[in-house]
Amino acid sequence: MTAAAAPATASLLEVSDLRVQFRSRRRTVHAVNGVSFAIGEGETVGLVGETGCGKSATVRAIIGLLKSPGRVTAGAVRLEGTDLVGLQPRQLRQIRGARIGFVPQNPFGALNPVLRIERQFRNVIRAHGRGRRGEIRSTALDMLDAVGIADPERVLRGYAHELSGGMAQRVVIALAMILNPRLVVADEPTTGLDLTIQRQILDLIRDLAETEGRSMLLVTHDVGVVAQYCSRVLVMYAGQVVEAGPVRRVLTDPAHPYTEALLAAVPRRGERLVGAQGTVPTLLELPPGCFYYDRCQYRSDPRCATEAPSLREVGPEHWAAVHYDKGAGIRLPAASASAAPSDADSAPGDM
Amino acid sequence: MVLVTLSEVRKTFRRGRSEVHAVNGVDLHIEAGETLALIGESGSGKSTVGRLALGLIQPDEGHVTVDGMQLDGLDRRTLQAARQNMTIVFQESFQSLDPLMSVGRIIEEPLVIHEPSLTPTERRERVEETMRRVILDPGLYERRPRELSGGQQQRVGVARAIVTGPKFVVLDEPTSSLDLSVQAGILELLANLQRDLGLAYLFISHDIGTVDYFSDRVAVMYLGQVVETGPKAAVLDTPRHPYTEALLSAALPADPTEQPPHIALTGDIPSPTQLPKGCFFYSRCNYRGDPRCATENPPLRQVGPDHWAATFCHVGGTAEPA
Repeated sequence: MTAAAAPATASLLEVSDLRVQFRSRRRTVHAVNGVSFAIGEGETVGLVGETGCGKSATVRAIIGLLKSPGRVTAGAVRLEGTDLVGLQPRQLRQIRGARIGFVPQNPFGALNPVLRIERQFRNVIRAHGRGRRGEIRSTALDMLDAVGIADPERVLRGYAHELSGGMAQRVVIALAMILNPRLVVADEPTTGLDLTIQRQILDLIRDLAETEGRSMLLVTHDVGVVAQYCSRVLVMYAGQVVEAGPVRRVLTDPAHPYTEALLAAVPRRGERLVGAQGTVPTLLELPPGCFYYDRCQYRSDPRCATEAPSLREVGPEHWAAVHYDKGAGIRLPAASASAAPSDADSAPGDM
Repeated sequence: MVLVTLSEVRKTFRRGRSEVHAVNGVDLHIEAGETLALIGESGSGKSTVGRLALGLIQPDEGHVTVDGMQLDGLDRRTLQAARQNMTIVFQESFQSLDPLMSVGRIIEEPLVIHEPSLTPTERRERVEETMRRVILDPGLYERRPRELSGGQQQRVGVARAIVTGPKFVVLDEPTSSLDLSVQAGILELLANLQRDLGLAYLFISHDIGTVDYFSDRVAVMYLGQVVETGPKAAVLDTPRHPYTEALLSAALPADPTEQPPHIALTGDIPSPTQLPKGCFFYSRCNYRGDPRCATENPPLRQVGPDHWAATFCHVGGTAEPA
């Protein structure tokens, strides 16, 4: 892989030139188009982008849970040196849980509605071939206590539907962490939860990662989550990482025009909101040049229309997939901000 | 001019053998042309207040007045006629749209009900004019909702809401399921419509950033009561109720250099089936100290210009937390 988006420490996870397609008889959606990044020991990396940018497909490819008809068509996902792409489902099951913990968006989708919570802990632990009933029970109680469940005994005896959204997500986090994985992947773990609960869950995930020195990949559409909980960020657009770097740099001095547009769309008091112009490419056919070309306020380099820019270093540990140099003095033209609004989203896809 | 008034409104729903006290004595008013944001968490009663304000459900106690007409106690036909003046935009516009109806028919439907004297041609003209107003290509008239993008679907929802020329619109989380860049376009549209048509909005939201950007005044709900209300800057910058303070501190600023302290709350919101005796926030409050906190429900008292909070304690004032 390129050195782009590399962590400061030794990497635990290395994704290189990952490509994912969703093929049906009628069409092919190019959901992920050459994504490369690495996550170091103990770091929390945010993966941010809007609907259809490929962040979920990237994560599902990493954990080996791509939904049909999605499949990895190229690239590698190395976890501590082992390439996970092409492993048998049985081998992947051994890695998920034990080496990668997964926290999905909807906890109720992750919990089995007809099994008692205790049984679900037993299933996870036994799938990895260890534990007697009593030991499992006490491990589960400890873990539920660690995720802040007030009455773990009662929760173990009960079913998923008896839990509130926040409680259910705590149980899912306990299940994801119980085998002590080195890497935790959380896909929009707090979307749909109330503000105060979201904060508690994110604090919990961060504390659990920090105390054990775990690495985290936190997928979100919420810039605030990245700003407050991540050290590095990867910005995805049209199935590519268009910018990567330290959160403080990327969010305060973005180098890619898409990142800049995304930040300009965050509502702030007294500031004019700038909605995005133009539409996201459909990803049915990949454009020849920069994927952001149609919407770009800066395009000027002759290569923009013909050559897809690759990530290049624009500052210390800060990478962006752009041809032009922002330092050259090209700025957002003021007039464009008052142009007629148009929807930035593409027609609904069915990825 | 005050357009919408809720006074001492209460609403209880029966669920099996228990009673859910959803709204417990709410006083609110909305001026013509202004936006009142209603914030609070799931189960705080925000959406129920929205439905009460539109006369979609009737209060058990108290009164709701819109544009001089008292909605509670009206017969169905008069209420139906009054609804021409007030509408709602939902969060998931796609789910609130009939999937088999064309976009044009969806927008047209309220006209058929409220302005039966219009000819089909006149209705079509009104619909196309409304589509242009919400920046939706009239060429999409015959399309089905699923053929539209999320932002376009929400524009259909807005068009349907304004086609009859209402004065008051409830916006129930209108951008919560949209991407940031699409949300920006919808918020801009809603702001322009308010300016051009003089609409009053009740903006129900859980997103503090959007509320800060979009509203004039804010009301904070907890367990079916308004615990604080006032001008946006007063409530968001100098909250005077401990719940408002904690809620605001849970918001995540998009600027990584801004890291305001987080005031964690302990415990859960009490069950609306069994309301607490004293202050509803007592069980989670970091400030309780006044002997009345445990026994009396504090009424709203004035804490600043047009700024009210329902507390016995002093948040952001002189006294330290207990």
